[in-house]
Formats: sequence, C-alpha cells, structure tokens
Amino acid sequence: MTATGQAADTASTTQTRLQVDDLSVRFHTDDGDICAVDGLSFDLGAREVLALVGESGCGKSVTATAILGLLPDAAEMTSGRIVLDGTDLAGLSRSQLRALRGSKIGMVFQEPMTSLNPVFTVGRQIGEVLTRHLGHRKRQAREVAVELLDRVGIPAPRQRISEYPHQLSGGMRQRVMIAMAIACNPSVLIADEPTTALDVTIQAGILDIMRSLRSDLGTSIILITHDLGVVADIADRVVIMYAGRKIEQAPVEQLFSQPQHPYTMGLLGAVPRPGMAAMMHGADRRLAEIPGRVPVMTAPASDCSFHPRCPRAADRCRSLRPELEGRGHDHRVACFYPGEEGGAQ
Amino acid sequence: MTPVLEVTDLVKHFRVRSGLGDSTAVVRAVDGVSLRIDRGEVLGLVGESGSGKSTVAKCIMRLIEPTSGTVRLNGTDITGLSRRQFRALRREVHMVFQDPYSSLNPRMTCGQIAEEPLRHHRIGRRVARSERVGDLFEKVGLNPQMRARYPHELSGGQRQRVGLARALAVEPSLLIADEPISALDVSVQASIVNLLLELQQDMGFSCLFVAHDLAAVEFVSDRIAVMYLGKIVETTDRQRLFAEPRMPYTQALLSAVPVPDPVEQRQRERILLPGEMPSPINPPSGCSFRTRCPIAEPQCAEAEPLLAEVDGDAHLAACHLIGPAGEAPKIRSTVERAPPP
Amino acid sequence: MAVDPSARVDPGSLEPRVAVPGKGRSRRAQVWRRFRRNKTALVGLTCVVLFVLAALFAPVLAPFTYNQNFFEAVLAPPGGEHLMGTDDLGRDIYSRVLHGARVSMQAAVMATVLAMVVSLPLGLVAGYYRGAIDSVIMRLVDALLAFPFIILAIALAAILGPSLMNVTIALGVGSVPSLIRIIRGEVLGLREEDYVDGAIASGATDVSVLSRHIVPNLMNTLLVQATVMIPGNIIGEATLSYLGLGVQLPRPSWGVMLNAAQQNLSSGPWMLVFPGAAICIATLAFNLFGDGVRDVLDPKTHR
Repeated sequence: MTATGQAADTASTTQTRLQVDDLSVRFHTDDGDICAVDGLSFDLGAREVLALVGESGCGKSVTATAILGLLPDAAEMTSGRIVLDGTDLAGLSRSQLRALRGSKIGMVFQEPMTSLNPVFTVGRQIGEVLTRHLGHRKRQAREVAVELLDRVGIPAPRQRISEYPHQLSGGMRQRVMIAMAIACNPSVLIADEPTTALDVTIQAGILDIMRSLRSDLGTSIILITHDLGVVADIADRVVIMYAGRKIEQAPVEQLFSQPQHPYTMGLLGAVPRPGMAAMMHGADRRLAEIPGRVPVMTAPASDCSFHPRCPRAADRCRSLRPELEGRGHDHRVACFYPGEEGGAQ
Repeated sequence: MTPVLEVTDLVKHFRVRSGLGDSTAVVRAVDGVSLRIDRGEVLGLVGESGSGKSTVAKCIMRLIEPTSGTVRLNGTDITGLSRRQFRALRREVHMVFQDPYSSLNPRMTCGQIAEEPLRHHRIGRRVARSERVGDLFEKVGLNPQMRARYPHELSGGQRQRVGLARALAVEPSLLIADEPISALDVSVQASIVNLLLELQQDMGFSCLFVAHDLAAVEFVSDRIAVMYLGKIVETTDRQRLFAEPRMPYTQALLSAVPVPDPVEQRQRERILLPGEMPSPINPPSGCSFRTRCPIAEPQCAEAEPLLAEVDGDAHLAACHLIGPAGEAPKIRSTVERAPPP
Repeated sequence: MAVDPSARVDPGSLEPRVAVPGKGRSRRAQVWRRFRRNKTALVGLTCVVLFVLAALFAPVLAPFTYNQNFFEAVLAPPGGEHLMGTDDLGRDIYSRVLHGARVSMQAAVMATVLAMVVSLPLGLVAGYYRGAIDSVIMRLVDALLAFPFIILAIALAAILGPSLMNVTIALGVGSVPSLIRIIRGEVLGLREEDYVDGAIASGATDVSVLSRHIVPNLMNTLLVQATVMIPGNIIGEATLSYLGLGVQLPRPSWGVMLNAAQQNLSSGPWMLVFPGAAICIATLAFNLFGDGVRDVLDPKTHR
C-alpha cells in the first residue's frame, strides 16, 4: 500500500479510488473470439458516482466483472491494469482477491434473488460477511447486521434479520444486497443495474440509499445502467460505452446539455420526456431512432464502430478509428465530427 | 357509438395453496376493474408489478377466464361465449407480448408465425396469404425476405416486429400491447414506439397499452388508467393526468419517475413512498393504498373509496381526501435531498 | 403507408445477447457443429452406427448362420476359423453375437417407439388440459411407477409369454409411466410459453396448438429420452432373455447366450465374455452418444 501515501498528497476531492487503465477483455466462444471490452480506461474519485452507460452488449457488465476478478472461464483479460486504492489487482493471488471482494469492493447485482442464498436467513448471510472479513464474533455480527439493515432502510430490522430471502420483496432483497455489500465499509461499490428489476417507487428509495452511502460513508460508486433517468438522478460523471469502447465521458450536466457523440445524442433523443407527447401531433409524434444494430466485435475496431448507424459518417469514419479527445473541461469524446455542428471547429 | 372495448367490474381471483396442508388463499389479482376504449383510442394502463395490469390484458384476451364481470368487444359480451364461439371473434382483438424471445415459436419461420391468424381464420388461399404476409412485413418495417428466417436469427426488436405483424394480420379493431418495449434496449424501444404509433394512425385500431414505464405510456396514450393492487385508482386523459394528478398514489408515481435531465431531476420535489405494495392475498381494509399513503386518515381504513368524477366524467379518481371541488390532496415533499458532497 | 417502406426495412434493433458472428446458419447445422466438438460423444456415435450396421447386415456379415453346429469344434476357443470361438453346441459365437445385435436393436428400438406412441397422447392430454383427466392419468401413472421398470417388464413378459414381440411390448409398456410423467411436465411448461398464448389469440384450435406448437417443441425432449431409453431397453431385453422370458431358441440373443454361458463357465469362458462385452459396449456407446445429444439439445441445459 505504498502508493496510497502518494495519492493522499493530492487534494482529497480528486483522490482516485479506482483506476482502470487500458482494459481489454476477449471472450473465446464456439464461433470465434469476441472483443467485449477494448482499451477502456477511467478513474473513480472519492465520493464519486460514475455511471457506465450503454445498451446491452456494449461491455459495461463485463467491465464490472473484470474489476471484481469474476470473469467467466471463457473470458480473458488481454490487457489492462486495475488499481484500487494504490494496489494493482493484477499482482494479487486468488485468495487475496477474494478477501478484497466484499471488504474493499462491494457489489450489487440486478437480480438479488440469485445472489442471495435461499437456505440461509438474511442475518446469517450478512453476518458471514462480517465474520469472514472483519473477524466479528457471532453475537457482534448480529448486532452489526441489524444496524446495517436499519441503515439501508429496512423497517423492523430485528425481525427481518431472521427471515429468508424468499420472504422478502424484490426491493427489500436489493436493500439486503446493499447491506451485505457495505458491511465492511468498502471504498468502492459496484452496482450493476441495481434498480432495473424494481418498480419506480422502490427504485427511488434504493437510489436515495446509494446517495446517502456516498455522503455519509464516503463510498465511491460505479453505477452500471442503461436508464438515463437514473443517471440524471444520481451520477456525477458519465462514461458512455459502445461496442466495448468508451466513446464519451463528461460530467453529468454537461453530458445531458451538450452531448458530443452522435450516439449519445441518439440515446438522449430516444427516451421520451414528460410533456413531450403533448407538443407533438399526428405523424410528428416520434422519438429519435438509432437505425441498425450494435455490431459484434470479433477484432479490435480499426474504424469508428458506430459509423454504420451514424448520420454523420464520412469516409474518414470508415477507415480510421477516432480516439478520445478533449471537448471542454473533463469532457472527452471519440468522434471526428462531434457536437451540435458535427465538429465545425 | 359503441366503444371497441368496455370492461365492467372485471374480477379475477386466483386460488393458491398457502403454506402446508390444504388451506387455500385467494389472490385478488384483479378486483373490480372497469374501463372503456373508444374507436381509434390508445388507453395506457399503468401500474407497478403486482398491480394486476397484465391479468386484465389476459382476461380481455380470454387467455385466462375472468372470475366475474363482463368484457364487451364491439358491443358483444365475450365472457358468456363458449371457447368455440369466441374463436371466431378473436379476429377483433390480438396481442403483442412482453418477451420477444418466448412469444415466437422457435420451430416456425417468421412468415409462418405472422400467417397463423390468417390460416386459423381461413382468410385467403395459400398464395394470397403469403402475399399478405409480405405486405405485413413491409408494414412493420421488416424485409419481406425475412419470412423464411427463424426467430432465433432475429434481434429482439425484429422479433417484436414479427409479433406486431402477427397481431395485425387480421386487422383487429383492438390491439393489446402487454409491456411491448420493456424487454428491449433504449434505442430499439424508440423504434417500436414509433412503429406502434405510426401503425395505429395508419390502420386506426384501438390499443390497450399496458406498461410500467410512465414515460412511454405518456408518449403513446390518449388516455391513461393507473392501477394499484387490482383496482383502477385514477383515469383521465394524458395531459390532465400529468398536469393535475389527484390520487396520492398517482402523484407519488409521477414524482418517482426520474426525468432524463440532471438539472431538472435534482430540483424536483419527490414523494417517497414508505414500504411496498401489500400482498393481493390480504389487501388492506378501506383504501388499498392507505398503508403507504403519506396523508392517510382514519377514514381511509374504514371505507373503500370509489372511482368518482373529480372534474366532469373525463377525470375519475378513487380517494377520500379529494376536496369537494375535486382538488387534489396536498402532499408535502417527503424527501430532503442529500446535499451534494 | 405514408412513409416509403424501403426506407424502413430492417431497421434499428440490437444483437441478441448471445452473439453469433457467423449467423444465418441453419439450426441443424449448428447442433451438429456443437455435437462434433464432443469427442466422447463422437466415439459413442461411431459405435452406435457400427452396432446398427451389424444388426442390419448380420446375415451378410456373419461367416456362418446362427444355428449351424460344428460338432467337430464344440467349445473351441477364440481364434482360427471361429473368431470368438464356439459354444457348447459348436455354434460360431461371432455369428451369434452379430445376430444377437439384430435382436437386441430390434427390441430396444421398437420398445422405445412403442413407449413414445403410447405416452405422447396421454402426456399431452394430461399436461395441456390438466384438471380431472390429468388427475386420473397421473394417479394411474403413480400406481405403475410404484413397481421398478424391470419388475413391471418381467411381470408383463410373464403374462404375455416368451417371444421377441412380447419382450418388445413388455419393455415398451414398462417405460410408459415414467415417459408420460416426463412429457406431461414438459407440456405443462410449454403451455405457459407466450407463443402458445399467441397461437390461441390467433384463433388456433386445441388440435392446432398441440400439433404445431407443443409437439414440435417437445421433439428435443423426446429425442433425449430415446437416447436414455434405448440402452435401458438393451439391458432389459438381455435380462428378460436371460430369464427365459425373451427370444425363443434357437434365435440368439445376448441374454440367451449369457444364460447358456452360465453352465460352461469353466470350460468355455469366452461364451460369457463376448456377449457380455457386446452388451457393455452397446449400452456404453448409446449412453455416450445420448450424453452428447442431451448436451446440445436438452432445453434445460441449453437455451
């Protein structure tokens, strides 16, 4: 942990908790190789909520599993460095990684039912995390588990603790998952579509808990989602992914007010906003579409992988790969013709 | 003019075995739903999971038999018909399903799937039917050559288009769309919503659009009905529902949907509801929403509020706390936003 | 349509979750490609093919007929003119094993087909209509399942009397109860699929729903079941024949040959070894092949 001291020299607000550098993941499938993630880099600051946004197949969940060291057997990390609080995860043994998961990195998945063990009570499952990582005694673990359930907004935690996962509703299970994930006060929480399976009124509560984790415990959060409403609600910074590559990154206000990549613009236009329909009549009532489909990358892209669907595609886009370039403060985009005007700069 | 669909007091109770032994419990999935859809109208039926909205859809299709109540399709009560009698009437109504993967038979080609209604209703000869399927494919934005493909070769959005082609093959007067976009990616959702609106305007069918996604419901619907625990709690036209929601649940639901705009979203007043929807096995007495309602009063536990006019017959809501002139009960925002770090 | 259709053909949609770069291949070709990668299953398939060929062409392949006695060479050890030796009546064991394959395959395959033919309609009706008819069928099935398969088959064979036909019937009927249960379970799941609702909404009759939507989607399950049942029936036939309830003399069956070998264990152990090995290899081959088929076809292991 020598690097932490060096990182602590910089101001605490810009301190980097997690750094992902040039991450590439390849899947070996029956039908050949697939580049799921290609050269992805980002960093996560303290108390920051970073949203990884993209449609299915863009590589956002693969990125999460790669960070957690939980890639399936068919996947291979072909390049990349993942540094958590100054520790390079590549240098760790399997058991060290296992110890890290749950203590320094917490994780919350989309479907809490499959992540909870149906034959143990909620209290026992949270307690196990505490005894394994923090060496708590049984009684102590129980008390802490009650506190944790209380903290994630579960009413009557003393009763709930002896219930089994199937006795809880989806929203409650997700809260239990969060309680388990934060049991050891991790510095980074990875939440993969944590509210996708939940109703909106339940989702609002879960997002509030994540917000309070950030403000009360100082947890940094990587939020993986496709829901731009959720992003607008909670994220500080946004990374937009397409076909395994980062194509745009910006602070949240800026991304929504001045999207630079045509794909980002397309995504923003594809979601209906309140009051939108009232202003559109007859055949004009249409949402923006992005024609075509996400390509499956069998090799790293040598051109702009969005070009077949892009209204601005030119010869350059078909032969060269645009690299990320700065467009204003902390705003980067990989496009030859970015912005409103298509890059008339 | 007779409405295309008129549902009156629809009830569907499921019997389930509860616990060990032979004791059974009754799940009140749908508990007295009435709604009507006029010709060419799109009614959005919105509710959270467990509200019974999909059960309403399946009862109208008679894919499940309602416990009681009537469903009139173009004036004919279909609940009294035998299965055989109703089969002929099935031309008038068809359905698009949520899951683009399980809604198409993997053993049939897309052309055979879209042709099925034509075949069963004995419309046209083989050649004519095949031509009609080609037209249908173009209508839903698929290359007619895709008729020979099997569903597994298609993407989710394309499959949903095949589902639409099947549903519209016999030009029904009512299309029931049960969460047709919720399993799709954002950019595909947009294209299916556009297609649905375009076809609706072109062919003029009425549509029951069932969804949990309020933004999408707002975008496609003329009128919206909000369901909670097996009952409709508020119904009115699109503008009014979003501008002046009366029922506290509707207010909370609208406030919970995040707006895809960080500046606006972070300034909105939100009503955070405690707890979750109660079980339809043991619904609360009186108003079914009172257990989560931030402003519930003792009277709410005593009598069930009926769906009543709050602003002429165009706006109905079920709440004891609505003022005598139809004014919405005031709910103070129950959440303080955490200050930014 | 106001919009030019050609502009809207094949529009925005995303790749399904499982990415298949070389798309457009037929389902059958994909299944075969997946199967081919499984080496043990390929070995199984090869043996199965050899056994089937042996059974089909036994009269051509066998150097002698199955009941030709070589009295000058009674209990001759393997080698020389008689590849697998001769039995206590001087008959060529190699020829008898080949003819035994014929009997064995015939009984196993026919019994499996018979079981399918009987079970399919019952399982379909029970699973699709549920209710009272389901209860009646399933109670009967439960009652029959109380007896182990082989006991049921022995009882049936004993009642019907010994013959190849009766062995086939006994084995087939013996596996009906468990097969009905499997088919019913599968139908219960299939009728909940949205495409069945879609067909009903399209005005399909029950017959049409069953024949066009349910049965075609049952095929994988039935095929997988067949690969499990055939080796079971090979052993079943051998067992019944060994007990004297099967094929009648002088026709050779592996079971009958084992029975004869029992009396000559010390003087002609090869009488035991070759038919025994044939049973082992045949069932093993079918099981290996079946495992491979299950891996590529079973809806539960592959979606």
